[in-house]
Amino acid sequence: MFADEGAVVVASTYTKVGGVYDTGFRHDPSRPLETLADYTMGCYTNLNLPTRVDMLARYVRDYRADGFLINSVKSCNSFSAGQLHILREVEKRVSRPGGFIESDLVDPRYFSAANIKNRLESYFQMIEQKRRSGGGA
Amino acid sequence: MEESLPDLVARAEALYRDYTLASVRDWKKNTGGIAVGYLPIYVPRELLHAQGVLPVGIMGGSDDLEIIRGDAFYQSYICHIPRSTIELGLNHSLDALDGMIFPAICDVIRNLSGMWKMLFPEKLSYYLDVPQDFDRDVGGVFYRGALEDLSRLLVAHGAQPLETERLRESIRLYNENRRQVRELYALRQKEPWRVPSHELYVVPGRHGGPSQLDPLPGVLEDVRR
Repeated sequence: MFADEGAVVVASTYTKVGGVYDTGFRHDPSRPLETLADYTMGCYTNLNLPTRVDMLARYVRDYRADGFLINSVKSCNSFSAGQLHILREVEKRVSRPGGFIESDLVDPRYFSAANIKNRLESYFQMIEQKRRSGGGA
Repeated sequence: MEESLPDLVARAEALYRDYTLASVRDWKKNTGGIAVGYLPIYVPRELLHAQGVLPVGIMGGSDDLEIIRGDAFYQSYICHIPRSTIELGLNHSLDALDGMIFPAICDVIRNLSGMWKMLFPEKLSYYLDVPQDFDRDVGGVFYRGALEDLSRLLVAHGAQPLETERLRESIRLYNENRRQVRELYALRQKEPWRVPSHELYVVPGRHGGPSQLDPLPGVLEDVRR
């Protein structure tokens, strides 16, 4: 769906739910299990919401993203509860538009490709308009 | 003079319905102490009490609270407690509170602690994680650290420093309160018609108002009559 609209994903937080390397954490081969535990304890979903907002805002700035998209996952409240607040906070910080879609990891009843495509198309159109008017990255 | 059971239930009901926490404001005015709200459950109220803090149970809003702003913070499938608690915070009902404690009851409440930090940065907002390991050297050490951390934060927000003897006395009082609540439940099991559900839930939760800790004063005796 992103490719259809000529958009690319430059960074994500969902890939950090196992742990976070980009703030400097590295495993210590002399303490493999201990540092593996340290890694998982520092995962995205163990960060409080202000820290998550900081991380998202940093990604948008560092990668000069035109916007950011939040996918609410019904089966994972640890990840998704508070995302609407996160959305507004990040928008405020980076002055870039956020998009919001809802789906699920495991329950196909909560995933509608047509609905998501529809939302994404509208979202990308809005970003394109902002870019044309000089409001994009 | 001892309060009659109907009067006590009526007072507890009024406290339960008072979203603006008038009794908390009165308590603060009379004592000069601070008040801290908490969501259910596992909150060490003894610690707060020992430091002269008024613990105020926040159970969200009932069906008489219209959720307007709270809905903008949560997806539709998230339950009523967090969205109504946000509503109460944003409509200034909880202004009398100097902070909030969010225990590890569910992921939504956990994340609510972070939302509270962003929405009310000047107030205490504490996520209370509880140990999963009951080994004293593991979970015990972890939990002690969490309680000491909370105690320090309370002091930073105007509470009295923690003293061992005062903590012991608070634990004794709360244990007595729990003993009487268990007795009330036992009585309900034996003679349920004497302890209707509504009274059972509203009285132990709100009895005596948040300004008092007298364990269920006279309730058991009155119920037995």
